[in-house]
Amino acid sequence: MTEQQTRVFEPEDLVFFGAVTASISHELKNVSTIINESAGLLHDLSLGAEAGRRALDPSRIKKMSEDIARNIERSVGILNRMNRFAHSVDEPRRNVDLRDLLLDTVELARRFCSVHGVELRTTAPPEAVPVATYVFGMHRALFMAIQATVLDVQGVLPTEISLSREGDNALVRLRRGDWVPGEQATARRSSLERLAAALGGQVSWDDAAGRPELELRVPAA
Amino acid sequence: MDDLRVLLVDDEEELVETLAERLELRGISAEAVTRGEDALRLLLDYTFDVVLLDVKMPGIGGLEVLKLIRRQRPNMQVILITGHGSTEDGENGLEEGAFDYVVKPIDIETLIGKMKEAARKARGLVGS
Repeated sequence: MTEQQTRVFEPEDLVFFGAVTASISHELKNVSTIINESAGLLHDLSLGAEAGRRALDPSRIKKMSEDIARNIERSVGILNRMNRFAHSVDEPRRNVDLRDLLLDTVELARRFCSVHGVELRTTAPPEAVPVATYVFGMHRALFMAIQATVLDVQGVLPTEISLSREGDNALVRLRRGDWVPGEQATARRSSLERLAAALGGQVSWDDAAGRPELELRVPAA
Repeated sequence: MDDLRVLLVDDEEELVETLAERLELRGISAEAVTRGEDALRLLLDYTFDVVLLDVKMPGIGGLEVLKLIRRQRPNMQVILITGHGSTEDGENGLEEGAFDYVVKPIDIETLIGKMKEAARKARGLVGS
């Protein structure tokens, strides 16, 4: 393990890795179940046609084959994301476009948020936001920041995540209209601050009444 | 068993719709919804023999829906669907009063067998 990884590595890293892996396996299980049912339905309809019970409707067959193709595409997307995530521990520092990293993290967090009834909305600039960072650590920092806005809230508003470049920094801002940082967010606060510092950045919490927000600022490359 | 009526609840819309169609082809009447809240709303007005219920769903989770069904409609039987490699969720569900559980991907003939058993229990036909 390199110096950078040692500095960032915490027991919570394994918890995070486990949570992400479990979420990915759940998604893949869902996709394979849908493909299994679509293939099963095709089989059922073929048997029905063979036995002369009903004619095969070409438009139904077309739709089902499209459903299968779409879900295979979905599974490839999940696997590609899983592969990138698995390789995020390879190097202590790598140049990445923070837009890609953020979008991957948002997708990795989507099921977690969905189970908590929270939608994620992301905006990013059209131009690249390059950072030189420990990719796994940055994934975890972004994931923790998202968790912080989701865990304490029973409301229905989405978490809005925006990425921008401000001078020499990349800035990720998370807002939620009905967010009142509570016990669980507070419990993560020091971990997130420590992690952000290890990544060369800083995190700030604006708990002001009205529209609370969390900002993660890291040096741009 | 005649007129078996089941309610399918899973946040994967394509899954419940396809499964409902496969069950209908086998003569089983199936309704499909994608949220626990919708299932509970439907259960206010309609009766089913069996509810097939995903454990992990947005909003009210499957185990919570199970508890509410057991309280409000004690005769209605619930079969849980779990996507996890381990059977922990299913076992937890059994403790909460689920009739049984199936693990994704689903084998339709096994599922129908369990549904018929559950329906017999729902109709008080067990042992008769």
